[in-house]
This record gives sequence, structure tokens and C-alpha cells, in this order.
Amino acid sequence: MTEPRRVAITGLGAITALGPDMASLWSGVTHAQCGIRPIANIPTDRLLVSHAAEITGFDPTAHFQDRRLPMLDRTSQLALVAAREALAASGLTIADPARAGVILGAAIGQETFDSSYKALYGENARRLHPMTVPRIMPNAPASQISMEFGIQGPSFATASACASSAHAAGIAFQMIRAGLIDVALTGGSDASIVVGFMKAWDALRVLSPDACRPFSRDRTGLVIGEAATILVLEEWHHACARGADIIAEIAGFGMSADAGELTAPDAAGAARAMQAALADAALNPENVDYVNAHGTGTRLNDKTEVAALRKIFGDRTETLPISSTKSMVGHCLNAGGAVELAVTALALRHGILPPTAGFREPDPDCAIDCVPNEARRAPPIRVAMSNSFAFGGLNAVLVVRKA
Amino acid sequence: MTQLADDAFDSDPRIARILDIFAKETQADRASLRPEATLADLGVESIDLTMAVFEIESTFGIDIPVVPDRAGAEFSTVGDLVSHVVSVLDKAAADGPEAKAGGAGG
Repeated sequence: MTEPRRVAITGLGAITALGPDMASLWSGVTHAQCGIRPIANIPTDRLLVSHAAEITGFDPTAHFQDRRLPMLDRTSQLALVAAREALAASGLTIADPARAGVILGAAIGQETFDSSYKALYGENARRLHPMTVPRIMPNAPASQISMEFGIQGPSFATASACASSAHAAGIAFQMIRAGLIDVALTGGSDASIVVGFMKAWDALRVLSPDACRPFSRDRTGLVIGEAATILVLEEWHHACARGADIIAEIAGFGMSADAGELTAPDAAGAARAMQAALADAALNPENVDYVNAHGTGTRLNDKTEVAALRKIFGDRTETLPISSTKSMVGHCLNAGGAVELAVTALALRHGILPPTAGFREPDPDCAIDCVPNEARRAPPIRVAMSNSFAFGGLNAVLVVRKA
Repeated sequence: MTQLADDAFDSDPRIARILDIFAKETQADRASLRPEATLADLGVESIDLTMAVFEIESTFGIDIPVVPDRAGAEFSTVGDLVSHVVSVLDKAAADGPEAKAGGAGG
């Protein structure tokens, strides 16, 4: 019997509120910098909230030629910038295009959606831009990446709201492990800070007006962020054969559906996904040294997530480091799972526990070590878990191992 | 949060309307909607509560702001919800019709 195929992470790229690349994301996270700021890119007079984790100072013309820009919503622009960085960092050239895939979290081109419908209904525009549909389509970032890099194997987008890019990375992992492809660009992109969509979030009554404080007793809700993060995944021997720098190994992937409430989290459903991911990795809960939590900062999510963690880790939940990257980059929706997976991979590589920023006061409902406000050099972290739980009750958990 | 007097709870016609909407949206038993009844005991799901607040806004033509620092977990009891809504209604009445017109309809 042949040895099972293993999957390496060999490249990372990111653009987030903490900066234009992966280095700024990791440096920001390890210095507990907070990318949540007063909203600058859109008018806020009709919004209930004033803060978000926006990408600032991004100039599309510095990255794309004039002729190409009309094809690209901001969502695709960010995805391409992160993909270029990830692929360059991996040193990989796509030698066999049919054995490579692009699997991304689905993300609508919100800026195009918002501005074109505003023009149509609000300003009585006579016609819309002919690239409106290809800019809006939720597979646009995946398609644009496949086109730019000539990737010709299985490529598509997965949709599970705030777990989309975690599902994408999990499916990419499974496809490489199963032998369908050898290389994947995976992750996600999200640029949803537009007036219409932010107004829709207002109506859900879960947004914090100004700060994200996961697991803190005085937490006030979630803050929307925008980001793209792309990971290069590669079959282990494929990576070794070319002398690639392996950042970490994806060891397991678990999914579940709550089949419960539409917008409320469910501890049993979340725990089933964690259990499935550990079983897939052939690991036990005691092997896990760090959890990168979903940690949105809403009263209900954090309490429920801790209850779910208790189902898996028992009393060890109180001492196991469990932190939320959303406290610094906001809730990046379709890209959130990918941002957090990349941070988790670097935590393993560097042996540093990323903190939960903005933490002020312990909550008896969240009795964990959330690595408050300061990154911590850890004893070697061998195995880490990254949690993503979506509206609609769709859960995705990845288990990552030190390379 | 301000406490509602029991007599106001039973005599204020605005509260009766709030409770009618709440019962319809959440499928809770109308007779069980007392100030001290907890949303958890009534089995109210968060999405239904959000829909109830939205319908109350539409019915009265007001915006009901999120209870400060309580996003996602604003109300524990029926009384919490009712007193928050009544305080918004009182403020809208005091501010006059102009302010109200700039509310949910604006």
C-alpha cells in the first residue's frame, strides 16, 4: 500500500487592514496592532457604525494596466495581489497546468454591485457597464487568478459565508491528498465595505460601533474587515523535490452543518466540525497546542464557541491558548478563514502565539487563555486548529501541523 | 435598563401593539409575554427577535438603535425589549414629527 499523500503550505500572500503583504499581516498580528479604524473609503452618514478594518492606501493602478482594470472589482484586485505574492514567495512555477487548481471562497464583487445598482435606481442611469456581470460574479477572483497564472485544472469557488475560504482551503487540501491535483492556489478575498452591504449588516444588530473585543466581558459585537489571503498548497513530495520552503502542513479538515438557527451559532455543530478535523488528521485533542478561534466578538458567538471547545478539550479549554485574529483584522467574511489559516501556519513556523487584541476583562462565559493583548513565544507548537463558523450554520475546521 | 411599571405594561396601548408584533414574529404565546419572561424560556430564536424588532420599527415608523454595548444580545427579557422600544417611542414623540419623519422612512 502506498503512503498517503501529504499537503504542504509553500507560499502565503495577503493584503489586509494591517498592510499590503503577508509580512505586515504577521508583524501586525504579533505586535497586537489593530487595523480597526474610522471608515475612510465610503460615506458613513447613513450607517449606525463608524469603524471597520479597511485596506487603506491601495492604488489599483499601481498593480493593473488600464485595459485590465475595468474587468476587476476590488475583490478580484485584492485576490490577484495576494496570489502574486503567494506564488512568488513559494518559488513555484506552474509546470503542469492541468494538475494545478484555483479554489477560492466565493465572493461577490460588492463595490460593482453597490455602485451599479445605485446608478440604476438612484441616478436613473440609462445603461450599466458591460463588465458589471463578470466583475460581480462570485467566482471572479478564482477565474482571474487562473487566467493570470495559466492554471488549467479544477478551479471554482465555494460558498459558505464566513467559512467560505476555510471550506475552499479544505477542499483544495482534500483534492491534493486524493491525487486529483498536485498544486492549488486557495484562500479568499473580500471587499464588502460598501454602503448597501454595511447597511444590511446594521439591520442584523450584531455590529460593534467601534471595537472588536473577542472573549472580553465588555465585547460589543463584530467589526467588518476587508482582506485577501492566498495560500499555495502543494503535494509534499512535489514540494520537497523542488527544494521548496515548507511553512506548515495541512493535516486535517472537518466540516459540519448545524441544521439549527439561521444566524445563531450552535456548540454541537461547531464541535462536530472540530472532531471531524481531528479524526481526519488522525490526532487527538491533547495533540493540539493552539486554536485560532472563529472569535467574532459577538456575545453569542464567543460564548458558544467556548462551549464547543469544551466539548472537545474538556477542562483543558481553560489553559489551551485560544486567540482571535479578528480582533486585529476585523471579520473579513469570505476571506476570514484564509487570513486566519495563514496566521495559524506562521504561528506554527515561528512558535509564536498570536494574541487577542482589545481584551479588557475576563468573562466567566469565556474562561480561556485568549493570549490577551500580547503575542507570546510558546513552547514548540506542533499542532494548531483554525475554526470558521458561518451564518447558515456551515462550519469548517482545519488542523495544521508544524513542518 | 428602566423598569416598567406593571400597570403601564397592561394599560399602554403601544405596549400591546409591541407584544402583538413580538408574538406574531416569534410564535411565542401572547399570554406568556410578561415583563419578567426571559426570551430563553420563551424559546425565542435570535433571528426571530431581529425580525420582531424590524417589524416594530416599520409599524411605528421609528429606528430602534442597538442597545449600547449589547450588539447581538440586547434583550434578556420581554421587559428589556419593551422598555427599550418605549423609550425610543417617548423620545420620538418628544422630538416631534419632523424628527420622526427622518427615522425609518428616511
